[in-house]
Amino acid sequence: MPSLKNCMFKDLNDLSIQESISCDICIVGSGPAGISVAKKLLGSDVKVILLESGGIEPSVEHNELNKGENSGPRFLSLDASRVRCFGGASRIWAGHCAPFTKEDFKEKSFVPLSGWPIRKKDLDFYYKEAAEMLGISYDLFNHNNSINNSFSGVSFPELKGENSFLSSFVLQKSSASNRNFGTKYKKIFSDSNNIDVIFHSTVTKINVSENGKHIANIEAQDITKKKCIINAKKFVLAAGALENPRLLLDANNIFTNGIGNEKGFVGSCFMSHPGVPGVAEIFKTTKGLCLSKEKYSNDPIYQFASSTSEQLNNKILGHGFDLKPALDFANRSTYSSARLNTDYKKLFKHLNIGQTAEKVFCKYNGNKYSSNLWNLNVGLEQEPSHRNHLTLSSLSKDFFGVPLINMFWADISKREIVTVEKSIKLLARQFGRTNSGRVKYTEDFISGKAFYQPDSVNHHIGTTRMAKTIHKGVVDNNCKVFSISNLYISGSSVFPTSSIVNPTYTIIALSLRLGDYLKRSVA
Amino acid sequence: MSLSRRQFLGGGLLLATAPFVLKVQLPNFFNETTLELFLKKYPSDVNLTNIVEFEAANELGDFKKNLELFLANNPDQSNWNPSILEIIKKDFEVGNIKVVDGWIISETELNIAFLKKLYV
Repeated sequence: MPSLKNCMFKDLNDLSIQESISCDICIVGSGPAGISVAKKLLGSDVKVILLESGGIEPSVEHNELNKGENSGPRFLSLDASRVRCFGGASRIWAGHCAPFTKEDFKEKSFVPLSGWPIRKKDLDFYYKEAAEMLGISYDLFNHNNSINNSFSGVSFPELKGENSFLSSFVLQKSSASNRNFGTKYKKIFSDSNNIDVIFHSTVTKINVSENGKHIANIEAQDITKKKCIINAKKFVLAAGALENPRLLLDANNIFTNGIGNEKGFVGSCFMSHPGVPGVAEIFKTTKGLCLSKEKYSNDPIYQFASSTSEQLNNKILGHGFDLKPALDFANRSTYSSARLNTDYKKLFKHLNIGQTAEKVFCKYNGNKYSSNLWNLNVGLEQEPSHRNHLTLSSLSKDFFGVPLINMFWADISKREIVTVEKSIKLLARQFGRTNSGRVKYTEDFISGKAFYQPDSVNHHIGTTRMAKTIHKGVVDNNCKVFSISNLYISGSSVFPTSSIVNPTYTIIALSLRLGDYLKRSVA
Repeated sequence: MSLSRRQFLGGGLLLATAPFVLKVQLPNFFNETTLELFLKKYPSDVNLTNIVEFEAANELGDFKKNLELFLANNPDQSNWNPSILEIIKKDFEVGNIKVVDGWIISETELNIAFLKKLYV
């Protein structure tokens, strides 16, 4: 069986690529997860093939492969935040980073299926390495002192403090040059001696050995339907939380329900971070503040949430408060026709000509205005539930004949609604106990309309969850599929719970950990 | 006896302003109770339009008695609002809150707002 001799970027359509190739480790997908696993293997003796469905740059025809169906009450755009090319979704990612907290990894008695088989300390080393890759400071996550200089800290001093019902967490933004792995790692991988990146190689089948215990090989095709079979000692699926379960479910040559699906968890427990906008208004008792640039910093961003102890006492899920100054005539965005059409009542309801003039003057002088009237949006951790799941379409197939994804995203759960309600009460109590403001639920919250907004977050989490035993998940604490000896999964699909922070930073940390593990185990 | 123009205007002004001065200084002169005076002066941050839905008449009776007792024991009006504010802050602290018209307010605030509706 021929192997690749000269390592470089290759294309499946190249004549040099044979019908069958072999390597030590085959990684499917060159997004943040795939690149991070492969990065740990760079320069080693391990021969790696990294398969990418698209090319070096995105193309319309490859992104067409991301399309799928929705059958649930909530719509999820299946192709909105996915890119098939080198770097994957890192090319369109906003770059907000925060590690999961210690509590995120723990089991919560009131959240069925919660709890990771690993602890935060198992990831800390890799969080540090991921921070270096992203050009952010790991130490900053552990030192909250800079909140005093942040815009949130200056605007809401009353929400801080040891006895507060709330706590804050830091979000750092990775710069465009650091977060786009497609450009950042292009040269490093193209110069590699042990890693081949093969473009335009869409995995169309995973074949299980006859004894059902390991993966025999996988098949990849390009857009001309040229086929290549890849043999490897170990395989890693790093194709995202929608594509990973799709490939497993479609691998039915031995198991009719797909690979790793003995307990029905493949495709199940899908989670995102539902945003619930415009749930409350905050009326501060203090006057608005005009802040000069010396008085605050925009980076890092601090977001408030109910403290961990209050979350546990109230049996609520993780969440984050997104406080936005209320719309007024001093905001440029107010004058977009869409906002004027929908929000004009609010504009006139709270019209304060004096404050608007003060704000305009403040902005005119290059300063930032911290209003005394704010709108509250809440971002939610979603609980893992079989109600939210994806299956394979029985009707539609893609260009290669692989069934499309059928996503069933159920209505927001009762616990998710209660989380929003109770967390707003905690916020109101904190404002009240310091007599710094009062909080009012909006009509959209009371009527329930706020809970039925289109999803714009597009975080795909769950679907091949990590667990202690096969009875609660698909992969073990080393990201290996329980029932298959040589198949691993990396990415947010293995998260058992979603936390509230953006998933990519944890995807990278977890993938670096897997890369280290594979390097040791193959060696 | 004839009145000069100055005396006439001065006297008229005095007569015109006297009721207002008396009302502020001597509430009982107009049969205004201390409770009513407190409620009238108490600043209301929240505008509760559907307060009629409030169904805690018994609690309100107790609250009214306690408030009257508090006012009787604290004749210095300048202490009223700061003392009540401390009670409200404590309400928020321990979770004695209600939701009315979407407003998340303390029980004390709600009781005062309800009494205002009844007496002012």
